[in-house]
Amino acid sequence: MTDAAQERSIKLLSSDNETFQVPRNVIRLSNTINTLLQDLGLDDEEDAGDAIPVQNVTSTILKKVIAWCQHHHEDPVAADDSDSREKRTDDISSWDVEFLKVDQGTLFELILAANYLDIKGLLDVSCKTVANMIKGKSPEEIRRTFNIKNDFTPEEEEQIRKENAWCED
Amino acid sequence: MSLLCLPNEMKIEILKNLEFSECLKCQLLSSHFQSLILKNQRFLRSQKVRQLFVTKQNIRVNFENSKNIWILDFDEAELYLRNSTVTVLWLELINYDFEPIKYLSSIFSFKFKIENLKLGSSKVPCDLEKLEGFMDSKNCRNLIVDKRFNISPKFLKMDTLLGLTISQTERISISIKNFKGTWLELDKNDLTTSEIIEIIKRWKSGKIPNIHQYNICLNDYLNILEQLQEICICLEYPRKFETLRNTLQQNFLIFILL
Repeated sequence: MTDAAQERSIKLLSSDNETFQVPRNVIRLSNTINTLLQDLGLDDEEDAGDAIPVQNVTSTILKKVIAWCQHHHEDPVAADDSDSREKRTDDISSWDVEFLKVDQGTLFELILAANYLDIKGLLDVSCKTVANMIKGKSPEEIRRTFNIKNDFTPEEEEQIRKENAWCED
Repeated sequence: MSLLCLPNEMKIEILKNLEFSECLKCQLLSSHFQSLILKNQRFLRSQKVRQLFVTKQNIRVNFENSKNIWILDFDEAELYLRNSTVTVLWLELINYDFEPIKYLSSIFSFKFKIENLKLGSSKVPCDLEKLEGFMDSKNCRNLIVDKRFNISPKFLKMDTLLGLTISQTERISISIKNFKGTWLELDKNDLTTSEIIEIIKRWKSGKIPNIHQYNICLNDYLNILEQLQEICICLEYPRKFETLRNTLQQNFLIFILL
């Protein structure tokens, strides 16, 4: 990649019409933006033209997504995370832990944005954060944490417990 | 915005990060989560299994996070074991007229990993080609063969095995020349002196790496010792031996144990 290409900026337009100027190298973490620029033949252009609308993402969330990309854009490319590989949730960096100390609404919006923009690292770390909020809790505690309504009858609940007893201590 | 508002695809992404038992627990949250988990179980993390004990009647399972032994019917095996990692699969088929590996393959046609395959007993001789195919398909590289298991003296091509423990009391001719693993235990066998010397020479030259245990019953130990005298230190009565290579000085030591 040339120096000029590294210095290029891309404009992103949030769903609430706020424009963000983002270095091309930073937003390279988004496969959605990469594909879009390539498909439109704009990836090698000095000026990518109008702002790219990111319709599903508000300015508050897009700002956080860009901040995450800004911090991680120089990270080494992770190895392919196949399903057979053991997943861990205790390997979140301290920067990400702080970054994801947000209210649940923001956390879920970040998951949606990471999925829409296809930013694998952000999707991975935000899903791990939610998983960590589930781990070690009883079903009742999880329901309270995420405001989930229990629609089972006591008999149905007992039946599920019996069916799953084989994998409990 | 709440967890329930996320698309199911995203909920599955979150559940993928949970241990198997935690995922099952989430079935209790609501009927929505129960249905989501049941429909997408194949994408979620699998259970770890300490031991599968397979007989003609059933499969007895000891899951890693459970103190109990659970009995599975054959048609339930895939549901609970697909994609799992099994530390030991132990087969006992002493009184039945089945080719043992064909029998195993018919039960376990789905994908999972076996770390150690223990062939306990069989009446019908084992088809070596099928055994190799089965082990390859389960990514298994450690084999334990009991003396009650009916296996041909023409044993496996050994170059893919990491470990072998075999306790045939009668003659067995093992094509040991290709063995490159780190664990080898042989009970009474018909290995000749020259074959044993060959193993030691290959190890000494570095072709057999990092031996953790070589434990071979010697038939003609006096003859072997005589031939080894120039390159080894004999300590005790040679019933079994363990070898260690001093990689710094390339010296060759053999500790012969009772």
